Amino acid sequence: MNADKKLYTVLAVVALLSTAGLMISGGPETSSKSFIGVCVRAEKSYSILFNSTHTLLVPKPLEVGVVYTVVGSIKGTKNGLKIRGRYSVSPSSLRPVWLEELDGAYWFREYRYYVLTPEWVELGKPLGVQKGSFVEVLGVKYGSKFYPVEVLRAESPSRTLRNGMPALVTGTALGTFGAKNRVVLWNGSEKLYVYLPHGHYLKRGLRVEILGRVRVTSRVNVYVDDINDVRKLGYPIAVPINRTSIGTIGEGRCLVLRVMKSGLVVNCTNLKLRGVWARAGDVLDVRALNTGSSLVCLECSVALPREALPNGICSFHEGDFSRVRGRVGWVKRYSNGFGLANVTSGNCWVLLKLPKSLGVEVEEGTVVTAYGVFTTYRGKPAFQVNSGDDVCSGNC
Amino acid sequence: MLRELLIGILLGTFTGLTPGIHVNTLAEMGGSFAPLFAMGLTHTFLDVFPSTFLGVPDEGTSLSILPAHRLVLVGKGIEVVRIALISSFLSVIFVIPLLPLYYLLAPVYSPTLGKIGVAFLLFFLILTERGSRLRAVLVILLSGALGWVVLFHTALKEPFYHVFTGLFGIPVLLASLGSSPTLPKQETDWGVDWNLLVPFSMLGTALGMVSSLLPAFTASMGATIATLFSRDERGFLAAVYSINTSNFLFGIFNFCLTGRTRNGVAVALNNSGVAIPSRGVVILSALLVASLAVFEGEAITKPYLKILTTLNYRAMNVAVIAFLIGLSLYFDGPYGLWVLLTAAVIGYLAQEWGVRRTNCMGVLMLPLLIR
Repeated sequence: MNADKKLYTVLAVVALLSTAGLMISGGPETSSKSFIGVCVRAEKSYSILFNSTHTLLVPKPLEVGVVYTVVGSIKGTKNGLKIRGRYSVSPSSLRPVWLEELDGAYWFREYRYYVLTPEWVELGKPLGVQKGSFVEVLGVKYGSKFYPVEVLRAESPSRTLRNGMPALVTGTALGTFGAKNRVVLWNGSEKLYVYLPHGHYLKRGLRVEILGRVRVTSRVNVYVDDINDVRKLGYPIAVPINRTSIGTIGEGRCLVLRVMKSGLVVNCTNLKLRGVWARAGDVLDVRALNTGSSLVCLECSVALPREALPNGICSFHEGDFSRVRGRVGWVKRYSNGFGLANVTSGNCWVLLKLPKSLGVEVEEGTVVTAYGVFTTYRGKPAFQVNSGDDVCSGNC
Repeated sequence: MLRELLIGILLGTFTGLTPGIHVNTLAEMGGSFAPLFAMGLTHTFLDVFPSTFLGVPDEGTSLSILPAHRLVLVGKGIEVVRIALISSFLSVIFVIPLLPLYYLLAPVYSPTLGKIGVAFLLFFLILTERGSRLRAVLVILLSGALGWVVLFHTALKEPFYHVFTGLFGIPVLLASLGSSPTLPKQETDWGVDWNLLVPFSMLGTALGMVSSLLPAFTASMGATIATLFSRDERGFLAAVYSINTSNFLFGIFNFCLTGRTRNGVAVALNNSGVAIPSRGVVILSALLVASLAVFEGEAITKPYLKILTTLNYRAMNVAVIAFLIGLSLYFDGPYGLWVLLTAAVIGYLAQEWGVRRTNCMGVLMLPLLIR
């Protein structure tokens, strides 16, 4: 029995030593080969290396985008090379000649990474440089993706507008076109048509710095993939309203001379004022953005209603805007529909022109108030209004 | 397709009946779906012959050797063959209702789940050991160390051949050298105990399903669980052979569903890039192949035994040992033989220490856990 015990102990030791011997000797001499490749796929239980012509399946997780050297028994199968049995795999600092260079702008959206050349080349992993940077990358193309191994050069995003490439643009939001997320931006020299992600918008007059993709058609379009690529710089400092240029904000007090469908004609600027409701004769406090063709109100309010203007019937000065108030002495209507009404207040009088298009009738003896411009009629002082709303009878 | 299935059955007959030749060896040659599938399935039916009468196992039948051999020595070898054929056939039928469940489970599998399952099984093996637990742990550690070295530190062409033949085959053959020089007369008259076969076959099919989900969770490991349900050799054998067949079939369905390769045939299919037929076609093919394999097995049994009984059993066992050693040398030279002999020492120890031979499955379990 003891002899058996000794035998079994010896056998167990022999088995252990034999196993150790197997490990130390490393097994049969096989046709050991080396393979240098870039890891293009890494899963929990395997990785795939690629050397521009062949793939090698390695049964362990590696890091995508790293060059590895594998030494072991490598066997070819229909699905590529596979490693069998004992092998060694180690990261390599080698840069094989088959690695390709890729130049372009680094870009990403929705968890996918690209280099825009300007063709979209999808990357197998992110580069770790600023979005929009111009990069020179060394790597290998596998399937539909490019697997970067090393970033050779990375420059800050460009401000040059090149078709299909990203650009960093700075400008003032002038307004929208078509939809709320489509913004017209003035960059100091031209209008850019910016497409923001759905559901996002910019307030008029806001200065922004945008990293977007440029597409040049008959105009320059800028596509923003991520709202985080829009940096708000604030509003520009306001200037006197008569000194504005495109993209600047003007402030001042203006008298409304005339109300037109295209905007208000005011006495403080040659541009029409839009984005506010007022009547001829109202005095406005204006803070408006110059959009090139007009001033668009950012903050406009009536500072003095026209009713508060003094009666200017005794202050005739041809071409001046004024409020006149007086009693109608007589009314004359010509056969072509044109009419005249003599408005008198004290020793002062003026002929109120009443074109048929106004659609206004006044009666003798009534008190009228009119808002308009002094003019002459056959050498006599007259007063001209632009719409029927600017003439009223009674205490108004 | 029928012609291809028949070719597959012939190839499976060759791999199944020839000791030491695994289906994977031929599968590596590739081909279309039908012959590879038929070859693999037929192999699971017919590998009972060498494992029962010659004590030569493969990965799926290694644990069946001792009980089967015991029955052979008392003249019940034909019963073992029939149990194997019927339980394998039942397994093909029981696979069908389990498929919907399998199609839910297969995509959920993760390597971590596999490790947890194996760790649980290892713990379970030690706790339920009827012999010395210390010796069982020693066997697990020795076989685990061997597995770790062979699988991760050598570049053998057929590592599993050396390991399994050494752990499970050689010790049995060596033990049989001390028995009668002739094969005992085998009884031919016996009835099928359906009450025993059906439940154990169902259990085996379910365990085969689990083993096909987990890598390195072989049919043999599933069989260790089956041993908990019965000490009866016949029930155990029914479970083992059902596991063997269902493990193969589910492995093919797993490949069709997830692309994972859980057996050599699936690997060959994957490498060949062949078109996978629909689930219905696979099921019908399985039923056809299984039916033919049962008839073939029945037809082969008597001539097979006739040949064995005319030979000197002891001399034949020596010849088989020599053949297995020769194959080991053929596959991997002296180094393969070294692995075979080391594994044989561990298998012999497990046998002589009287611990459950399933502990030798540490050869796969420990490497899986460590990795």
